Amino acid sequence: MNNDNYIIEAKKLSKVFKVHIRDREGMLSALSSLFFRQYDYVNAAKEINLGIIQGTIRGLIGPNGAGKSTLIKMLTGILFPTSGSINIMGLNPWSDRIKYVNNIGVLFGQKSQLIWELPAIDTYSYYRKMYTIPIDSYKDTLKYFTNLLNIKDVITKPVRNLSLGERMKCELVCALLHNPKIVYLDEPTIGIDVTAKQSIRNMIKKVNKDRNTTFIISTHDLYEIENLCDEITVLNNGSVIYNGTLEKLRMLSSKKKVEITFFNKADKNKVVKMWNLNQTMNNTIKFDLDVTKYSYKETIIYLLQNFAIKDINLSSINIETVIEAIYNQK
Amino acid sequence: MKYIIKYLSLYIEYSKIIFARGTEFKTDFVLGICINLISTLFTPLFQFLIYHNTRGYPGWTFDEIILFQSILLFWNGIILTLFGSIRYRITPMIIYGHFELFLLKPYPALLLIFAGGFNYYSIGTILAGIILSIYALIKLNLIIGFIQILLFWTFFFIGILFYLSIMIFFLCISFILIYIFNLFEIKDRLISLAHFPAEIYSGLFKTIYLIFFPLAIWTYYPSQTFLGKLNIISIYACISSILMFILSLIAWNFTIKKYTGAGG
Repeated sequence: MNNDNYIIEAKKLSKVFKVHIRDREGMLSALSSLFFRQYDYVNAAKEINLGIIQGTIRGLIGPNGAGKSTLIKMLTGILFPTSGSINIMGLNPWSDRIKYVNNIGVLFGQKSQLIWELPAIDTYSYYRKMYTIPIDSYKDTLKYFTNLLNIKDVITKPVRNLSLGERMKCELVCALLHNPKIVYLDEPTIGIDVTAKQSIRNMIKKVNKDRNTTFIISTHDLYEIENLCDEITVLNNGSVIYNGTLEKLRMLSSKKKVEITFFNKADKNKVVKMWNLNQTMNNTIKFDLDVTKYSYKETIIYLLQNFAIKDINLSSINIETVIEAIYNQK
Repeated sequence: MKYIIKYLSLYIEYSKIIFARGTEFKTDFVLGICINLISTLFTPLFQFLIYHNTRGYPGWTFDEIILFQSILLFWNGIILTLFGSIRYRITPMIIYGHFELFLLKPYPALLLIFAGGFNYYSIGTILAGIILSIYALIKLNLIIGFIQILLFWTFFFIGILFYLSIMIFFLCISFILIYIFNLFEIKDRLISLAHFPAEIYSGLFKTIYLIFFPLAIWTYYPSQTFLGKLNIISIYACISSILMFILSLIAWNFTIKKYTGAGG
């Protein structure tokens, strides 16, 4: 994996955590853990290779504990990897930390960067000084984002009085205020309503398009992945299972959904009996066709030639099913 | 120099935010300042009682003790005002993983920790320290020259380095042990040994107090400076303080690499 176009390039990235475990509950166990501790070693990331081109929106998906947050933390320079290397914009996130973080924005859905008691505008003002953003540029950027997210009145209210959706929009502005080249979003829409989610998605798309900003988004929301991301990385048990486009991922599935409606019940019953199907309704049958075993084309031709068929509906397995199948491959 | 100015302006900005946060809750703000002022006034009263009900401190007159106490008040006020909030902020930040937000900012994480240390409650203590110092200097009929002022501020700034080194070592331990609130209690008890003059210690403890772990640099040497009794040993205390500070930075750089964060 060597590509000059990559803005982010990770090679054989691994992270092992030493975690204290207590196999019994109760006070005695707690007391004994003061003297004798058991530890477990968790491989949160296993030799991850990753290459991301500038200006793309990359989705990171995987079940809980798959290593998404660990990967983001290593990419952002928060965690030192146990082994492996990262090159982002020609920088090493640890040795060039100060220079590097000037060019990235980060939003953790579960960790607020805003000052809880004060209006978001106070946090923005503090960040302006922290990132030494010129006042005119700051005003323009703030206006651009507040208009995009429609939060002009929201940013002047104390953060503690905001709804989760409003707060998340303000958090997003905070991550983007210094015009970073790369933005990491760890579950940016967790727990927020459909309208706010859509508004955040639209903003990400717009910023990506207008400013060629690269986004790395970790999420459990597959709708978000389908509607936002150019490419995805699927993680499970600390390993990358898939890197590429959604379309290619869909094609990885060996099954196609087939739905056939017959003109008469007799034909339907014949097919049901022949293929031992159980998903039927009136004159319609539904089944998954494994294209590695049966030819897609020949199956359809056979059906059309031998039965009176009113309608055939062919579709790929939906992305949720594909990903669920991947998650289950432990 | 440019970097120091940048850091100081960041410190001032964050201090303004801490102040604004405090004023959001008016009653707590006013109550906090009042309680702090009252407890500050008790410190000289406590020393007065100790002095009159015991044999006092060997070699110290009552007015000299008041001078010592006033410098102590001033020093405590400064330290608590500049860095008093750190202990309350840092423990939850490490436990719940919010500390990692510091690592995403274009400043050394240690500077950001200290930049969030401002605690306005202790401003009253500084004022009390200044007023009491002026009273003690007048009472003792002391004339303070340029050299004494220079020495006082030298001890003051090196004393801050020494204090920061202790804080940094405790922060390092906190990264390893995660929950450290009681550890800060130990630090407080340790630091409170500086609340008494060197004359109450003897033998090895006195040497440690004066040179190797120079708690004397905060109050004892500055008061000796004003009283014209400063000893050459104080130079070693300055060297120890600077060495401690350098060592603490090395320890910090080593420990920060061990940071594991909290789960996602």
